[in-house]
Amino acid sequence: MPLDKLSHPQQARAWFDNIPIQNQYTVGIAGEVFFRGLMDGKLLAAHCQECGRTFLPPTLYCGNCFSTSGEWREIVPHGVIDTFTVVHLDLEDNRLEQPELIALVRFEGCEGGLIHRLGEIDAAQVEVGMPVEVVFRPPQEREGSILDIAHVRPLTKS
Amino acid sequence: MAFRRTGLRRVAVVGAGMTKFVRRAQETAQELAFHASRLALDSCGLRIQDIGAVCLGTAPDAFDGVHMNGEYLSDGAGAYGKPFMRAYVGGGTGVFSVIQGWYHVASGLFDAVLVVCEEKMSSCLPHPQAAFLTIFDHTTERPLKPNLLWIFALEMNRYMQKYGLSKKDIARVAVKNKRNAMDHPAAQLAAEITVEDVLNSEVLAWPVQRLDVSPTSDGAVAVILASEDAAKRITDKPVWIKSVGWCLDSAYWTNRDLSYPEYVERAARMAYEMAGIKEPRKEIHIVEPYDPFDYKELHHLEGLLLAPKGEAPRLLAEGVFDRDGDLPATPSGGLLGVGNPIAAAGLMKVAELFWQLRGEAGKRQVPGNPRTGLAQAWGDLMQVGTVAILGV
Amino acid sequence: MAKIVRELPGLALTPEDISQRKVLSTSWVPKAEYAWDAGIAMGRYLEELRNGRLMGVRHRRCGRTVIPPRIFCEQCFAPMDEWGELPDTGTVNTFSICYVSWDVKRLEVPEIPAVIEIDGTSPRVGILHKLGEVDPQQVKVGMPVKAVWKPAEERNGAITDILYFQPI
Repeated sequence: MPLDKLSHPQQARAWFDNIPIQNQYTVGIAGEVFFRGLMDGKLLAAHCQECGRTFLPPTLYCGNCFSTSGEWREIVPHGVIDTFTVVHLDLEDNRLEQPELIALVRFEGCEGGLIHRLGEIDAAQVEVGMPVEVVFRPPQEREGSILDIAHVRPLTKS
Repeated sequence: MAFRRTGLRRVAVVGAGMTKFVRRAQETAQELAFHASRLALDSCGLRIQDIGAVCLGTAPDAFDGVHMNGEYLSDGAGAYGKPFMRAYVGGGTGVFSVIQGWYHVASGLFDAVLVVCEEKMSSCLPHPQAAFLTIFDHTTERPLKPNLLWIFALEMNRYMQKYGLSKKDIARVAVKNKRNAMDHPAAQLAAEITVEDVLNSEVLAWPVQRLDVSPTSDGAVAVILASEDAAKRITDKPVWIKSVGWCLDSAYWTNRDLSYPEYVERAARMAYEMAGIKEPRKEIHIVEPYDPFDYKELHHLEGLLLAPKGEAPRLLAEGVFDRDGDLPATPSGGLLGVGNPIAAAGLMKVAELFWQLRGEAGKRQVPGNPRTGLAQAWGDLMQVGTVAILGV
Repeated sequence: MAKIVRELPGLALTPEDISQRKVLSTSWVPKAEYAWDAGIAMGRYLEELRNGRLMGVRHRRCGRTVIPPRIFCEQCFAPMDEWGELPDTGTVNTFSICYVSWDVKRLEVPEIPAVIEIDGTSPRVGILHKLGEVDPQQVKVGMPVKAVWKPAEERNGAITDILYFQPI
């Protein structure tokens, strides 16, 4: 029996179905402060008074010493490209007409960083180490989401 | 049974902490895990740096809606930069996580282990129940659009039929547990109700009615395990894990005896043998059996050999399982009263034994200085039994 | 515990806290679609359902005949020995009268899911299906039942090729 051969190709069949659930995530206690900060056009990080580390995105507790002695600090929304990629495929494996630029941006004095889209620049010109700034959506379009940041772009000298 | 009996170190529970159990929490899953972990550390004066490894339990990823939920939760469970492992055996996870923590310490590998269980079921829409659709066989059962309640209703009906039990015999469990939960500061569904209230509640999947069922919940629980030397330094009231046991039945659930949980008996026999317990009914003073549905508590008391087959309902009616009875069962209030954030609910049962055996359970305290307690959880496709016996 | 903690953490929300955006949240609809290979045993099971037949498998050493089919005996952990056609009759091992759907919506007409022990299999061996053409109040454990099949041309090799089981 373990060596049974399929006698007809139709027997080699698959059963098709899906997992029909959706999710809604609360942003949580630290998230509530961080995302409301984005709505105000501010980047807020959590600073641990015990070990002196600063986390962005912020957490309720220090991932290092596990204390809740944190305080909120607004940080300058200027960072540096730590690494980047040029994405040519969408989630369903279709070729994108316009490739997307995705970067990990680090902020001075902060642990962590933001993953976001890079805009207002050609792929060929992006370099690791390039200074960038956060571009917020217009205030009336913000809704307390990571997409309240439209993208990051090369830091304009002003 | 083939398991090692010598050369293992003694392991104690030295601290515990938990969040409230609520239908929908504002905290993220990580934040819930953090609160429980921090409270457990604070309860015994440890720092996160004192912890050698972290064991985490959480049930199907579909609830939290985070694939690789263990990794997502790890920071909140204090696992940053530490050896970390996630266990998952469905509803049996809460007690299994303790078993996992136990062998991390008993083996000699670590002196202090943090065990954390979390569940955030409210993230799942249209209803957390929907996540259970995917536990059924995708080809032979899911096309029938099964509801999780089916499987419980089918088992409950078989149990009632086999022993000629009535709904009234079983409803007393819900009354007892929801009443016990009145004294629990984390409780979601504590209430003074009557057997008639249960019998008059909405019929969901006969014989299962609304008040026969535990709620869906968000919450987290954590305990700290330590080796004998470490435990004696940390506290003057260690609660020893005397033994553990676990067992899995066939995944073909429609081929099993639905009136009796054979796999729970096997898990219990392993634990009794390891602890040298010959007469469980006399040697276990307090029991926290898994009670997601009222009949399950009775089913499990029988599987644990703490009641003869089919007779748990009679003992219940006689008051044996009341908090001041001969064998208090679910003095915490259980899943029916405190709530059912799946993995966290099982670990809550172990935490309850910790507080009870130390005499710290406040208004829930079982009288008579209980010295030995048993916690049991159950899950997967109704096929896993997990047991831990604690003692002072 | 009472000594250590007065008020436990955990902030309970109402559905309105989220719908009225008193607290922030994000939503996600995963696109999780699957094609599960039926495999050897299940492939043939489905194929024979299309033909209006229920198939079981038998292991000679332990003497068990089981359904649904599988290529190995999970108790002996050895390959199964032979296929056999089973009658499409059986008895009700247990049943429920269910008023809620899988996503917890109230059903006007209850469904009657049941475990049905298929005739010709070993004791306690059953499959999950539904009962039909019966007053829910009349259903009894131990009741003999028979499969009601879809018309042959509508079958597509699925457990739903059996519409339900009906009392004999």
